[in-house]
Amino acid sequence: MNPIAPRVAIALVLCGAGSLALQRVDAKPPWKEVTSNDGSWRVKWRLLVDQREVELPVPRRRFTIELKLESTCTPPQTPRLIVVDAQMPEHGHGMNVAPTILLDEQGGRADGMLFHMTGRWEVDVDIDDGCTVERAQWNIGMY
Amino acid sequence: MTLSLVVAAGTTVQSVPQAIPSSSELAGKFLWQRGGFESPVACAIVPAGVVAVADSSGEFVGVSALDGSILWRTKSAGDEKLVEPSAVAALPDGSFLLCDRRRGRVEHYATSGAWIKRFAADTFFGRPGSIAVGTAGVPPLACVAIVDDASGEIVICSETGEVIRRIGRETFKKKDGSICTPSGIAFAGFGRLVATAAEQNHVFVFEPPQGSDPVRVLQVWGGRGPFPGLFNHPLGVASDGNWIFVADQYNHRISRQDARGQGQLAYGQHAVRPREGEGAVHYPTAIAVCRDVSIGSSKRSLAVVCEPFERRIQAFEPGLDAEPVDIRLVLPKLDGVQSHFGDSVAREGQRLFMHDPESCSIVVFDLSKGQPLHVSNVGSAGAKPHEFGSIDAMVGLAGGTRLLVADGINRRLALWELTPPPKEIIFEPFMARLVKTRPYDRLGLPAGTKIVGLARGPNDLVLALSEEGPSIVTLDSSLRTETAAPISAPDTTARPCSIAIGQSGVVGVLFDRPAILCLYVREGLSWRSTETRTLADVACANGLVAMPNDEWLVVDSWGDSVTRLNSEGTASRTGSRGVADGQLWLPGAATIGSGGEIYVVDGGNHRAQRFSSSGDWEMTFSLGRTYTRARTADEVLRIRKKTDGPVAIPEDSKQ
Repeated sequence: MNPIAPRVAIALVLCGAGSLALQRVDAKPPWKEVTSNDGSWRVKWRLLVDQREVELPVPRRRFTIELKLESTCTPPQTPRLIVVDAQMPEHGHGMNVAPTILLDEQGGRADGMLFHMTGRWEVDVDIDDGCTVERAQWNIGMY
Repeated sequence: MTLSLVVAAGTTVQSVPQAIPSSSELAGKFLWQRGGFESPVACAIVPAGVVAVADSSGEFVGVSALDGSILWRTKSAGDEKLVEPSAVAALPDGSFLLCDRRRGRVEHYATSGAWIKRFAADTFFGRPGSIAVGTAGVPPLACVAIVDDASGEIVICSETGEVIRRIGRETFKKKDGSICTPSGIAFAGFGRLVATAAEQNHVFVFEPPQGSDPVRVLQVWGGRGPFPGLFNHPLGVASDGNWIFVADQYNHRISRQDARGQGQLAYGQHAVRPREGEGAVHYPTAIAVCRDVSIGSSKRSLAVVCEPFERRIQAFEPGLDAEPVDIRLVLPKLDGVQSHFGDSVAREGQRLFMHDPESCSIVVFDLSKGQPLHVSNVGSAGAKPHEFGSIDAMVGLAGGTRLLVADGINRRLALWELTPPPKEIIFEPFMARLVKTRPYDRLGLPAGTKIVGLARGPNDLVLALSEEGPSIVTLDSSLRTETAAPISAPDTTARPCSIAIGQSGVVGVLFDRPAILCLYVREGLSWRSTETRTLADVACANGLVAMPNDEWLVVDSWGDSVTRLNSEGTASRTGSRGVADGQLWLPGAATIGSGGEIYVVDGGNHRAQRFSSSGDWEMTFSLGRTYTRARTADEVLRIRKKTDGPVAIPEDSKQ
């Protein structure tokens, strides 16, 4: 599957009273969601290559991770700083590049990510609320 | 190594091509070794043939450069007792300057070991940790450089003790801009100084400034690793004016390089097995070099290496007849032995956690099958949130599915989560994931303090013991502070080293030297002292365990034993110095199992041992081995030497 190509689905759409028609729908990859490792944050994320949403990054090509952060604490916490990094646990190394990370009111983005080889990558997002730094993580398999 | 086949007496036939000589074969010739120290951390040599050794147990010792025989020993400086000698340097007249880190003093001794006076008596040193004597400036002036471990400054004094300049740690920046903390110091000739930064694995060559000019850093090199130009906790440094010698502690070697960091060789060979001798180097902390030392009737160069892990010093003859074209740097020979256990341990549920200071990782054992089975490793060395700079204390939480680690170099607490134990015990390399961290600087504690002890309270509350203050911080399971309050400390130079919570809720804090156990109860937001016990029979306390029935277990590193204190105040001792099963060598920590059994980290023997609740030896284990039939010292040493014995040094080279 070409990871850049938008997901194509064939859906049955009810058109008008009782009539059925086949219609082609271009479904964008949805935001995915993880909970941070101590449950304090809901992290939604998606990948962009050349500003286009994608399912998977392309090996040896820069990409962006967009983030939305939501505190689950009461009262809600505000992220002061985020650090986005990635590593290959089986290989014991990380990326060869340092992404540029921007934090905004909704979340943030990490530009300039680069997976230089195929395999299992673990993306780590460390969210600093001014007291503790909590990690959210997920795997991206590139095989 | 050259393999050869001896055909007949006096006749040798080369059976393989000549290999490139190893750097250790080329870089230094073993001369002699001297044991009998408690913790020889630093040394200095004077041309008259005296080697002065700073023993951090509180002794200053002079030995002969000829054969290492003891010439004199002293435990005093005037009418005061030495507490923690940490560094020594030789003055041009053959006398010595000795730093006493805990007393914050620098003492002046004659070549004979007689105390002369206090050096720079009017100058405040927080914790003088390293010292060097040399010349600097234009015109060259004799001066003394002292590293103050408390402030991270290098204090430059005149020979008479007046402070000329203080050089802040902000001077020592790595190429990425991060600041390093100096550890060792030496003059490197031509008015230059060289400083090691052990925690950041770097070496700096710099020129002390004229007046208020900024310090000029001439060369920076390093990084963590075993290869040439890299270090793993470089502590001591020395120079003969030409070469720079670095005691590369966790690489088990003395590296030699020029002032640009080039031409690196290594002295000695990594001692794989404890008590391996004669040229094998094990956790060196310092080196001294001196040209033209009177040794017998001749003068020659001498290098002396301090190895507190082996409680000994070794002497080498440095220098090469010819600089080799190609160098094969000696890397550690592991031979399957990797159980380098540091001074912390934790047990929670059926999991036992110990740590390896060399790789900065935590090894996880499963105890559910009766014998400790190695099931995972946690973390690795580095500065990222999921990496460790050092591991100073650990505590298990939530039935062994969480682990809190105090990392003094990265200055943070790190909370990890481990998957619950599976039905079948298998090695699972990715069992753990980082949950969160909390920087020390956000704990509301004195600046620069470190967490030296962790204990689990009710409801997974955590008590963190801060070295400075000292203070106890109470944290909830999300690492948020509930309280932070100082505790009353005994009026001695002892430093807090461990914390434990007894069954009745009383909190025990252990102080190291003199060994003192202080008990506290919580009253509101503060801690009230209820009892103070001085442990006269404990030489250097290093770990505290709360036992059932209001008993306490104290690990005595220098006493090579664990001491059990019952509620009536009487003590019983388990272990003695040695390598046999049931004996210990520099034990670092202990913990209690769910059945009352006692696990002791026998770090100096690269192993751990389990004792019954009554103190009887039950088993010895490490990574990949466990046995329950006790071995004698001879059997242990024979097994250690089975596959690859130590290199035999010809008698005629021992001098």
